[in-house]
Amino acid sequence: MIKRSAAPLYLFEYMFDIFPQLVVNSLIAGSIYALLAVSFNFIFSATRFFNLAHGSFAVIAAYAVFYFGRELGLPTFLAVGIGVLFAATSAILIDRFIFHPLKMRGGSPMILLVASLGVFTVINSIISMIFGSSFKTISNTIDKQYFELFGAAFTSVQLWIFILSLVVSIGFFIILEKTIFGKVVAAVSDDEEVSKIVGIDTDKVMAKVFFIGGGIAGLGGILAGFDTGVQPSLDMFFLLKAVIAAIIGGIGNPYGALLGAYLIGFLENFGIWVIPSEWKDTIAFVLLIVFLIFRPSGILKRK
Amino acid sequence: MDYIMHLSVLVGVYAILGLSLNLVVGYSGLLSLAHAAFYGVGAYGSAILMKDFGFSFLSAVVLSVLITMAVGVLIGLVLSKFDGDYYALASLGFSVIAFGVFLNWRDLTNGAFGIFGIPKPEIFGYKFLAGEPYAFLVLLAVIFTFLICYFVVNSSFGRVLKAIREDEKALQVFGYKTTLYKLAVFVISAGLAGFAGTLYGSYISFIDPGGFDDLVSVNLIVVVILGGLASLNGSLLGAAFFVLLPELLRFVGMPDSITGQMRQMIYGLGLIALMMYRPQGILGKFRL
Amino acid sequence: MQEKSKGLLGVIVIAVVLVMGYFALSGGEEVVEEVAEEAGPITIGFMGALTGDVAFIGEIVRAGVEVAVDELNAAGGIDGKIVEVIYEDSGCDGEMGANAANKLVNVDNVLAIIGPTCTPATLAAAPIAEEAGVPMISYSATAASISEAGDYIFRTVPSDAFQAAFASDYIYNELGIETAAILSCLNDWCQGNADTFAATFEGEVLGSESFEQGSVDLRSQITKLQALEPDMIYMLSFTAGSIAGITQLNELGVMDDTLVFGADTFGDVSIWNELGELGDGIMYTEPAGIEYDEAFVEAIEVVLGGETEMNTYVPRAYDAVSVLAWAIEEAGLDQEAIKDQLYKLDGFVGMSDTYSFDENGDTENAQYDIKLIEGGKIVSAE
Repeated sequence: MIKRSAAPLYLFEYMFDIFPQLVVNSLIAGSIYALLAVSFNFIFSATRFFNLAHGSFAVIAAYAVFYFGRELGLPTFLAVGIGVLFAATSAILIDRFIFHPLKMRGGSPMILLVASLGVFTVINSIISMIFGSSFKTISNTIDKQYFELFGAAFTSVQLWIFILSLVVSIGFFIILEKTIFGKVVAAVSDDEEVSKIVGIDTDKVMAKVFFIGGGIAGLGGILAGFDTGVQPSLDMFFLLKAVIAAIIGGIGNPYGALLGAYLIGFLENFGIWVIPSEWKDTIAFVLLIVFLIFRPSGILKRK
Repeated sequence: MDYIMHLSVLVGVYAILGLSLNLVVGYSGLLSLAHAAFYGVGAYGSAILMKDFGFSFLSAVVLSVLITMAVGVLIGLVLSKFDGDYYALASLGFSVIAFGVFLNWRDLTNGAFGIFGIPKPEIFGYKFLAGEPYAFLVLLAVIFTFLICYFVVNSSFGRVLKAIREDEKALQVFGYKTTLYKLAVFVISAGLAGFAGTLYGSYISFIDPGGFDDLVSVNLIVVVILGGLASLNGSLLGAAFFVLLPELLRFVGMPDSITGQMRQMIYGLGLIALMMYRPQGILGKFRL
Repeated sequence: MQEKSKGLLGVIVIAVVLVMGYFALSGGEEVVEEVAEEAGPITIGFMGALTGDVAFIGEIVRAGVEVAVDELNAAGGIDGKIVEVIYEDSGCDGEMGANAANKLVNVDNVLAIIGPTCTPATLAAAPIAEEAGVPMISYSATAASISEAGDYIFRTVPSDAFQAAFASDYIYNELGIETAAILSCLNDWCQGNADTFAATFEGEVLGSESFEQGSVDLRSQITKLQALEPDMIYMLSFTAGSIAGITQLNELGVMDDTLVFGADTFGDVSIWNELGELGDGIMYTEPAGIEYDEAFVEAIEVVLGGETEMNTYVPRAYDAVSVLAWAIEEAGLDQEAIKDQLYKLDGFVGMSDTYSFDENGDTENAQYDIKLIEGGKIVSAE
């Protein structure tokens, strides 16, 4: 058996040197999870069912960037824009043709969940068939620059990820709080029936919610793609991070989703300092179950 | 002929898995994504008992199923606090955690290397080799499982379950300890899944963590829903469909490289279509 | 259902089961294998990972086998008999491997099997081949445990037990490196090599981190190893992990002062195509390969219908076919005789290597090349 890094010993010795790097790593992970979690929470609040295809939106966007950016050679920001559009459009189409009709037929949230499982499976298989299941990078069209701050290394791409994520999240929160649309969505999330009575076109609102939520998730997928790369199996990965972050942070609360995302990012990266690294992927789930047992509503209360 | 026997064994294993999962999903109305964990515990349990401790097949199976049921009690207790979406999510979490254990507890499970050379069953001196004998053994196992499920479902216990599924609060008012009922059926279901695991392990003679990950749980849900919720015959149908579909695709001439993905796509489309037009599944009697 | 008819149904079911049981149990002996003794074609089976993580190996290997068989047939076949191949997908998965083996052995009644690609598939297929007495030659399954998988199981690729030991010796003695850390994925291939390296390295292994096979964020693990300041990192990963991991090693500044050394999975050219020059300076071991024969590569590309990246297993699969053909020519069509003949293999010069099987059916020649990445391309380091 291999000698394991003696955790407690060098926890204190090296932590000081490596601490800034761990912080940077956590922030990058958190930034990606944030977009996924916030968008998931947004759609969930309005629709009240777990859309298991949420990660698929992210993957669609990432592969769109792969195709348009790498294969066709379009400039990066154009490819990103197309990617986000693809994701947003897929989301709205899926709602229009699958989720909405199901709701009209009186489908329970569980039926919608199972249907979304079907959607997830179909999208995964289509992407695998078109692009293959091997891992691909999409960031080599970008000129990377390397930086160092307080002993922590990061690249220009990662800086962009952090900034973009923050900007989009803040922009999104402003829309939620300050615009009429935001208030309308809040009303529909609160009580769909009453909103209808009051005269809100809930169907249109839902469509917009899917469009925006899908687009933001798409951006998250693209940023993750820039950070590491793309492969079809990332759809489950994105979904799980989004859901766990949203629940831990506080389901129904957009700021909760943001909090949960960064929390998971930090716990994953700092956690394997004490726990052997092979358990890294299990950490988020253990956290989830702990929260579900002791505080199922999450950290922040529902708005 | 032998290939048909081989497929029969696989259909049988999946039938046991489907039947047992249906008890929880169809009859209790809970979307459990933890089934692969029990399947794995059963498989690893009997493999380790037979290989490392020299247990005979029968005693290894019994012991392994008991261990699986014990794990089922623990997981079931935690899951009993949840409902609906959260139940599905938490159960998925347990599948992931179980996979992590299979993969990383190297001392016990041999980790990523898996366990190979799992012995074939030897019962009263007769060794069940692959082919007709094993298919026969699995057939017996399926009948046994079916009978158990049948009795669970059609007994007064089963009637209480169905009532809980329809309106849990009402039954609690009447003084039924609904949590215990749900836990009981969960544990039975877990034990049967573990049983399926022991049969699988001895048949393929090699198991590794990859055969028991969260994706397997998802596939099992598809099997149960496709076949029909709350229909035992439906689970048999679902299992047969699941195992035989890739063979059909290959027969029709689909290139090997995409049969796997084609199968997934067909399942996905099937699920969506079913939810739209027949949410109880093909033979099912319960809608989620 | 009425109680009575339920009872009747139960009796019928029991009767059916008993009758079936009687036939099943009495018919449990081996069916005499009737391999085509007449002047029919020789049917062999191929198993490879045509889908899944290592499909990039499996697909090209399949083409290699096709080329080998085409050449055999063009030269008149084996003893005048044409060779046919039935291709099955073993996926790098135990269940798929067992399924494919079952089909090849029991439905198609193949004479022998070339493959599978991966260890789990091989370990699952081995008992099936062994019980039916079908010789099986894998061209790329390298886990040490396969040595004990059966009498009828052979391989034209050296066992993992050798590769990491070779690497640790080279690193310590030739490169003079004294401290190392290990970064390994969590599957049998990665861990087998990692364990062997840790056990054989004469210097100090400062620490070891691992990650699940599909993971692509290895930063935490790398950061942990970085803290230990090793002179070199022994990195075991498949394509996705390699691309992501090496990118991150670069970003975290590890590659500035630490040698990254890998094993034959680094032979996947697509890794270096993706990384550009980020991988420069990385070294790895590979079962002794060859200058790929131009004509061979062209033949493969014709089969695949396009350009392709060769890997070290393709010639070994070609050689597996050659070895099998030799054994059939010498021993005839009896599977047991073929198996015995294979054990006599000694100094057989193949395209990729010179083969001699030891008493476990392993190739004794465990030669490795050291490769280096320079300018984004794989070159020899020697």
